[in-house]
Amino acid sequence: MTHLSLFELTSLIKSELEKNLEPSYWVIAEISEMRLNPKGHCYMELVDKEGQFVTSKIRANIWAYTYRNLSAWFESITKTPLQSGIKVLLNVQVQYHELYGMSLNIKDLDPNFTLGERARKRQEVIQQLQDEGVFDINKELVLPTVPQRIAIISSETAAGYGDFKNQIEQNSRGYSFKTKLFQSLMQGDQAPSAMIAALHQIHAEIKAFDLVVIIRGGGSQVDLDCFDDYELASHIAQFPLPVITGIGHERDETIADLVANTQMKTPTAVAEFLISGIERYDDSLNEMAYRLEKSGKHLLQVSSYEIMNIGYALQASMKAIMHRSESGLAQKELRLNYAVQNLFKIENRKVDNFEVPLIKAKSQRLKEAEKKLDGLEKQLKLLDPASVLKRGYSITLINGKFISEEQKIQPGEELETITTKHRIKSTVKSANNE
Amino acid sequence: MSKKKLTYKESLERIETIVDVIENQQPDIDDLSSLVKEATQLIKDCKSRLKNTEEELNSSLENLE
Repeated sequence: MTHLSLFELTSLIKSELEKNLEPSYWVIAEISEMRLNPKGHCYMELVDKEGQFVTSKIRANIWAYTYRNLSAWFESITKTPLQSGIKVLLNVQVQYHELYGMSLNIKDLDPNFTLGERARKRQEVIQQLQDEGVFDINKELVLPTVPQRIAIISSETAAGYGDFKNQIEQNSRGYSFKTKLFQSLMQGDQAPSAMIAALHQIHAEIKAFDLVVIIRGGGSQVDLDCFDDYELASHIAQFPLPVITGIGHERDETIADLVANTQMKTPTAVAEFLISGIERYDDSLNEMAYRLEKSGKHLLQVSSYEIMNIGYALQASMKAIMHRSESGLAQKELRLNYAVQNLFKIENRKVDNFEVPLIKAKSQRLKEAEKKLDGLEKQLKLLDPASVLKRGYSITLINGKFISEEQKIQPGEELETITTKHRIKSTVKSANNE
Repeated sequence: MSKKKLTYKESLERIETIVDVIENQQPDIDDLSSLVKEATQLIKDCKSRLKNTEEELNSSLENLE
């Protein structure tokens, strides 16, 4: 029985492979492992999967010089580095080494395939979220007017977290914020579940917060695939508070960005966004205060003018009224004067009219009285004893008095007899008293 | 106005309403004083809440609920 040495066999395999295989093939594979050696050579393990099952596996390498070119180019186009877990389209040469066995030497790759592959996967996730009706839920939440209580999902050591805190705490207008950090891994396979756990913690004290921010340091273009994770996106989309992302990347937005209420490029931008929201509110207050003062003053002025005008009008109408009543008074006074004078005239006339008959009546009565008096005077003159005496009569007095009818006259009593021209004294000789 | 603390949004809306009344509807001079007083107080409250210390912020926010 003929036989070969192992080396002869492996040499045969090598020559058969070189004879039958093309110099190179374009192959689709997923990088399952990848490492760089100190010399800069890249060693990988490529796999093919059907669902979760690995159906094929092979070692591969990229020599240092080629790797430097390819990895930079790949990253510039896909915005992610060559790394395990991604699907790539590679140009490979099959190598067989008697000592080291089968491997692939990677000579070229097509970043656009990876881009398309990722886009396809993203599109699948987006489609699923849309089909489930959750894609827009968080976007439909209204951002709070003044977001002051902020739950932060980040890593304490992340540069972006420090930037955010500084920005928020040292805002120029001195607004007060209350922040609480919910620690999470922010990259790698474990990141989605860690961020979901943080969301659950926030949910447990949801009343203490106005919104959630998911931030991590920008700068280096590191693994962002965790933000395309379906489960994470689904949790963000359905979270009851608005979620703002500041993941710090330059490539197309991740799915987390797409479902978040608001997406910002960087943590600093998130802080500025929050502060500017409060500034807008504060500015509205200032504007209101300004307008209030202005219109209030204006109204006061208008009112005081009105009051002044009313005052003037009142004054004017008062004057008018007074003038009217004054002239009315004067008129009345005049009329009164006139009436009084008139009355006087009338009364005077009446008096005048009365005067004549009165005077006539007076003189009539006087004449009558005078006549009476004259008569009485005559009568009196007739009665005057002197005139009686003149006519030859005499008066006899006894003891100086007239002799009454009852008087008894005694002889010897002295009589005095008065005539016009004589006074005669005599003594009674005898008396006949009847 | 009720004793209940208004949210930022409600406060601003109330202030805007008052300013609108004063600017456009020419309130009674008697009402003006109380309206201005109310709006000024709301503005003052909101501004102080924006800059409150954390403890005050927490307590005032608790009042909101």
